Amino acid sequence: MTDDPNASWECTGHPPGSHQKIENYGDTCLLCPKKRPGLQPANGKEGSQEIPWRAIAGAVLLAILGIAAWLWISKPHPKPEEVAQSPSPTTSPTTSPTIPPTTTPSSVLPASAPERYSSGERRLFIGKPNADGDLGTKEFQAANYSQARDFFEKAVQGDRNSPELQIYLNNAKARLAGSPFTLAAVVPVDGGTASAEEILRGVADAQAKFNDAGGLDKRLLEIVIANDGNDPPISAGVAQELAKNPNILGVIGHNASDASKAALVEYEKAGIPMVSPTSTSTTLSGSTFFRTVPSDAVSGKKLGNYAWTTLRIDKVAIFYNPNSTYSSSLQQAFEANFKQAGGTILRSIDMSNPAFKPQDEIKALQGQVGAIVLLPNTQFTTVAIALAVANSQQPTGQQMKLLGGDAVYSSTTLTSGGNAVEGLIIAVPWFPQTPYAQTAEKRWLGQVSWRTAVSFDATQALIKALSSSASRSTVLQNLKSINISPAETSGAVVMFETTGDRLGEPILVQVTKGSGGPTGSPFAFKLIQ
Amino acid sequence: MTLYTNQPPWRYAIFQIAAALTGLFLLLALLTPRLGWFPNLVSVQIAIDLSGSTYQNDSKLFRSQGTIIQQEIDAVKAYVDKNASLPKPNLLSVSGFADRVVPITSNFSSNREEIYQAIDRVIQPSIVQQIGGGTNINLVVENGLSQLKTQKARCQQMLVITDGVFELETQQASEASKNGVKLNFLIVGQPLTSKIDMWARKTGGISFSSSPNNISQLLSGQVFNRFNTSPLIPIFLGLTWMSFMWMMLLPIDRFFEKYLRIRVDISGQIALFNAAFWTLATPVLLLLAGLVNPFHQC
Repeated sequence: MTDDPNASWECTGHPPGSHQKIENYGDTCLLCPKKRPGLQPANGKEGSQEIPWRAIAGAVLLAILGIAAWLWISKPHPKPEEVAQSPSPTTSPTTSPTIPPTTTPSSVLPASAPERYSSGERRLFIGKPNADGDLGTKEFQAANYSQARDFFEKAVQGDRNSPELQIYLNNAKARLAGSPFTLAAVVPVDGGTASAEEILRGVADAQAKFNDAGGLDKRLLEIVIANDGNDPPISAGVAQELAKNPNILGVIGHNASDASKAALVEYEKAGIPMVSPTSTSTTLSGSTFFRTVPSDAVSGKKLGNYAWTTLRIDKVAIFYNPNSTYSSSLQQAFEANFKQAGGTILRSIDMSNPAFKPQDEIKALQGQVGAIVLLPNTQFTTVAIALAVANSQQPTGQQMKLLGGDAVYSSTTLTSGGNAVEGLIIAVPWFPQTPYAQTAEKRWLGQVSWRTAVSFDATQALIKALSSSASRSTVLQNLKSINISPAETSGAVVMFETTGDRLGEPILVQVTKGSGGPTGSPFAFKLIQ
Repeated sequence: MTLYTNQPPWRYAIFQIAAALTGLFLLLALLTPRLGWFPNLVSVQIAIDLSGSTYQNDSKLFRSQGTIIQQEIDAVKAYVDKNASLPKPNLLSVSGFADRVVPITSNFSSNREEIYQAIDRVIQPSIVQQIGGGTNINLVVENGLSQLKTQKARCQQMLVITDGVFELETQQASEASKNGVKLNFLIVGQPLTSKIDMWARKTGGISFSSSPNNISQLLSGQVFNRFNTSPLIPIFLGLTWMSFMWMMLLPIDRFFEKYLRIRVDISGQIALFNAAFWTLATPVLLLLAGLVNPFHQC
């Protein structure tokens, strides 16, 4: 032992003799907590400053081994069934990329049935025979686009009112030009033929305008028409099929809000932008959703405010279909805004109830409300007209004013409703007093509807979002900042809010006696606000 | 009897255990690639550029020998051949692209004949009018990401072979990164730009520039090996390094004590700190270098 702090020292344990003699060089014995003789602990307590290096090192080693083991265990080890080949959603490139694989036909066509889709390979509107159109589809199927174009041109001359044939003609030209941009238009050919054609007229107009101007980089636009029948499960299936085609850059549709809602889930998964021209429900929203028709929220607000401030009505009854997303969404929007303004909703009545009797309902409301608000979905517009008729049969002075949603904005309302619907005020997305209305009327040999106008706008929006290296994501990005002037649309600016709703308000029209209505009807819609 | 601590380091258990672990991990790191141990389960979406420039914009030269398009096809076939020899082959899906995308295989497959037939059936001169002559990378990457969504249980690699100069939307690279898809680019006959390299690295992929004659070699060599490197090799090498540092605990202690004349307890603490430091730093460095990613399987 020595006082030299660097010299070695021997230890026999603490207490002495508790371990073998060991020669130490440091300040602490290697085998026990005993300190170098003469060394004072900092706090005077021997051994209290001991750092458990071994314990720390051991813990660290264990931790590292633990991390390594965790890394190994956390690596997913696929199960045999996951490793097996999984089918990839692709289509045959040697045929049209828009045709899904053939499946067994059934009484109701599944979403994957080729009969639901066409760029020109088949007629979807089979109620309108056209020999040239049929020949055109055969040539299109055989990829003889030049002959197909010639046949479709003749077919269009024979049926100038058919948007389907016009689109097929444009598509044949687009294929001839090579590598077209592709959009899909989903419409209810089954069960909504008239609406489907109205929508497709707007689509065809925008497509023809783009293609006739030479397209973009000499690439023209092809439209794939898909038929979802407004049936939500089919709509979702159709959306899945469209998502499988990598060249479909966007979708115009769907028609009914329920159909759009079902399909939107699939479009969001695939990142496909969807611009609905006619789905107004407030329940619709999503990262890839846009619409060119005002939402029910703004329509309900417009109608509610007008009833309260201009008509000075303080109490109303609403007729609607709670089973329809569109109808109930409009009912909620109207009710919320009318109540907020100070009005009262006496009752909201289910017009889809099988026991519903228009006469009885009108009698029950007699003298209690200033107006009835008709918010049917398209299936129940006849019930709405029956309510108007029942109201008109009440003694003069006791008749209630009529307000309505855009489902009753049709020539059928004027022709079937007659005198009973005179004075009906409707919130609508468009009124045919624009240059586009005149051009479209000449092309289609008759006045076009609001569905045609907003479908034209939807297609224009997607066209403006195209670029040379267009993909679904670039189209989606471009749509968010789109700004199309009224000269290029059906009459109003097309811009979208962050919610995907179109910026702008609906307009109000009223049924009045006068010219400009459908043939045989003395009534027409007149713009009031 | 006095127990002296200055015996040779290899007489101590800590040295012997650490040396054994070092040898074991080194052996695993060296043998894993050679013997195909701990293989990756890989799905690869291969996109072949079929734009006009790959056949000199002359449809008569479509798929002629010596053209880039034919070199690309031969290279993909070489990859398919080599893939077939793996004990657990990659699942491959092939598409062609120009302005538009054309699927070549109908699903992910490792069947050599099936892929060969699909390539020869689809890549015909008639395809030119269908897909145009440009280079739409955004569309093909978008399609690749969509296809690879069905392969979540495996390492997802996307390989784009192109001779074009292109701009990829930043969102596409972000989407790939978010979904664990590695974007890899093989640029033929063009210099590799820093942007392309950045897009690849952002997703954990690689980018190469190659002459047309060298595509096959590169694809079935470096690219193939990269895709099929076991993710455990960096971990084994890391463990080797950590064990080695623990093995060096006593030699470092003695070195400081004997040659630098540092007091024995201090030298011991330095040696212990060194081993502990590398034990902690090695996993961190592996993570930072992207060689180990506990959140992705490959």
